[in-house]
Amino acid sequence: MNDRFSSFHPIFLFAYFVILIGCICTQMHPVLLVTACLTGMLYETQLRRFRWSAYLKLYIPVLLLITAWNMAFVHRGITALFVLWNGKRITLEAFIYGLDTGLLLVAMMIWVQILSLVFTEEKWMEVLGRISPTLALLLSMVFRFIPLYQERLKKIRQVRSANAVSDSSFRHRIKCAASDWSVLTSWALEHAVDTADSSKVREYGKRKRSRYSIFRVTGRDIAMFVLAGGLALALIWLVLKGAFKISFYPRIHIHSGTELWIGTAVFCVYSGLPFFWDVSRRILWQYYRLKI
Amino acid sequence: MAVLQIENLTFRYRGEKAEGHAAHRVGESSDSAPARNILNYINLAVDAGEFLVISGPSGCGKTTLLRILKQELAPIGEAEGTLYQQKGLKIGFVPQNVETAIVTDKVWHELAFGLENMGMNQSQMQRSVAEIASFFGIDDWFHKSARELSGGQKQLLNLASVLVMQPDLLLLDEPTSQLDPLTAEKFLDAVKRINEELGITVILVEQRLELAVSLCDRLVLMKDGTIIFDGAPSTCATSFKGLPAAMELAVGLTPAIRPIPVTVKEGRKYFQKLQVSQALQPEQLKDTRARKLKDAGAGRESVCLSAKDLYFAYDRKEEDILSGFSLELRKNEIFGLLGGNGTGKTTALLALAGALRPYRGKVRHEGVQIAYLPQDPQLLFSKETVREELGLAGGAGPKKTAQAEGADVKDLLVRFAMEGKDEMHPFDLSGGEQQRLALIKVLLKNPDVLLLDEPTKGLDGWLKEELAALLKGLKADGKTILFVSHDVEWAASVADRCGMLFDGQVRGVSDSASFFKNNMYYTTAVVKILRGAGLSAVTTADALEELLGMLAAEETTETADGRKKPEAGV
Repeated sequence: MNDRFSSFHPIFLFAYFVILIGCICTQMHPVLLVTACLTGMLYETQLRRFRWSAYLKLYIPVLLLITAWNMAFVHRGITALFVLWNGKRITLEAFIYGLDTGLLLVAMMIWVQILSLVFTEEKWMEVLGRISPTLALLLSMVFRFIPLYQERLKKIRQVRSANAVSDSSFRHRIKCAASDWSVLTSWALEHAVDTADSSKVREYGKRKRSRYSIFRVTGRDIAMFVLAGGLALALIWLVLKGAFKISFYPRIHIHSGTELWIGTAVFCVYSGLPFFWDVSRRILWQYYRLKI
Repeated sequence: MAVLQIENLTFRYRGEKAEGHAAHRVGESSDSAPARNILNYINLAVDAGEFLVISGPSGCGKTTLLRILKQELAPIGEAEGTLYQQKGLKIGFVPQNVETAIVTDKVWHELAFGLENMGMNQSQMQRSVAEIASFFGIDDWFHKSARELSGGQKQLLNLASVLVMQPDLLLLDEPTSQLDPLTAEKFLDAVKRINEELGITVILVEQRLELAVSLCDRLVLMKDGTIIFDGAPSTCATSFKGLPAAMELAVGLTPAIRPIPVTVKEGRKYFQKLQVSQALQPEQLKDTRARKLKDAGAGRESVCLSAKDLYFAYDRKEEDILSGFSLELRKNEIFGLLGGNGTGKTTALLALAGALRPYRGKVRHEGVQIAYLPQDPQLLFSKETVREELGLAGGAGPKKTAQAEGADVKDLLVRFAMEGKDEMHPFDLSGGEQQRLALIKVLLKNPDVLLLDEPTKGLDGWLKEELAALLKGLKADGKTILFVSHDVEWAASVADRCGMLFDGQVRGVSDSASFFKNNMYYTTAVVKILRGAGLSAVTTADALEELLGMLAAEETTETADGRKKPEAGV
């Protein structure tokens, strides 16, 4: 992974992605959506090998399907492309609206994908820990125990099948599963006591807990926070001013003014931040390496 | 200066236990429990910076003693006597169970867990965690999940996450019982380092004395709730199972010797001296060997279970665990398969038992029934009482009348010294009892071949001996036994034939005497000590017997010839 953007502080990343995805979800302007798709695709190449298959198998079919759906079932709009045998009109507006909705969905899928790649378990825990430390600790223990029990169950099954009489009847299998489960639960109950002891000897529950974090806020985080925050504020202001206003029915009406182009530029920089950051880092790094 | 002083401490559990499976204990407690003292007039003073090892058979009260020292874990019961602790003494406790002692899912979180509980501020925590992680070399796996770690790493993590809280006194409750010898050695070395470099006082409860004794300053041996020895290891002439081979040998041959050799190196030195002073000549020893060497080529007994060229991997993308694994198990023998951790010993057993399917090669059982006993007997327990547990196993086997079945179970219970326990909860039994119960459970099927996975794990010297006797008894009944283990000493005492599992294959199969004789590293301590002396014995007990016999013979020839020792030595 070449990506450096994901090493920013989780709280910043969380806010960044919430605003970005929120923007994509609420704005229908095709310029904004196309920009979001492009910057998302560019950033994805930094996170992992670009997957053509995902685009061919998922995103493009979604786009086409939604367009077709809208054209087939929505007959509003004044520009008729052609008239069907049953007298229904297929309109340009419905086609454009379908395409736009499809684009919105694709842009969202791309960015949610990115979010899931960037936000590892630890980052979620960091964000959650700020909100509810107890819940975060509980989750951390759950994450510990689920694989532990899975492993145990696997072993129990192996031991049972090593000693089993060969009988593959349905009833027998149900009986075996029940017995496996019973072995697991008695073990789990017994050993929960050990875990409780282990946390007791480490003074759990004696004082108010503090919270250890492996993430630290650095100057870099603050600088990026200021930059992205400024962009986000500008973006929100422009959105509220109606820079990305668009109406489809009965006739497509786009506000194309300076506000739109400023808004597009701001959104382009904002959604492109991860990619631009990674690339500029790489160029800078190459430059440093040249000095060796 | 003593950081801890115990005077005349006596402890007994209450007739009815306040916690745990109280209901299951009622039957037992009514006749035996109230009168029994777990600890009897214990006197113990621990100085600052000391490394103390406490050992003793299971149920001797050593864990209870350790838990009494740690306030949060103190067992509920009646205690008498005084316990003096230095003011503000911080005590760390490392529990026995490697797996369940870990509370959180990430290594870094586990390290910080104790500090979080103390309410320490962020910058202090950052420093403490960083410090301890680099002290133990955890940097490489700091961001990993606990589930990705090896057993040794997990126990090291447990140690580190206790140590990060900067205790003055560290208590460890059999921390290596679930580790293989090599990993255990590394772990104990880390404990030694803590003791030496950081000056932390250590009290280690341990079964595995070969390693621990050579590291500690002071050894405390317990039996039935009393201390039977307390002093430096080199002065310990007490007869005690599980002491290092060098000590056992030296005390057995020359009871008055001080200091007693502890390590293999000291043992060799001691034996060389003995050879000179007692004029035990290698030539002479060789004669005895020729006389005692067993008939190895006893002819091919009929093979009852064989595997030929097994190949197995857990996943297509993963490396082979077994690659060309071949083994022939002869009828009515005890075969020991030895190997380090991760060599695929368990995989091999599961493949032989039919629980795993090799992707190439075949296992042939000549119509024999196979039973498999896992490392952890708790994998077999699903019922509330011992009685139900055994009833279930009988039901799964061939149909018999209920009465005959009952008789069978009773028979086995008596034979395995488990009578009177049938109303207890399996988890309330001691480690050794749990294993015997598991053994009974798999034996109810009346198998011809018994596959045992690491059967001595967590057992003390006495229990190991019992188990060896049990297995020999089963062999006498006509059973065939295959066990995998890294317990070399125990393997040497029970196995007829041995082999090593390495690189997915069985290597160097031969009768166990010549197997251990010819191995340089993978052999018993006594063979290492007596190397070059040409003895046939591979276990300490046999060697002791052989040497004592020789010494006696030496004396009689001496008196007959009227010669003096020094001349014979020249």
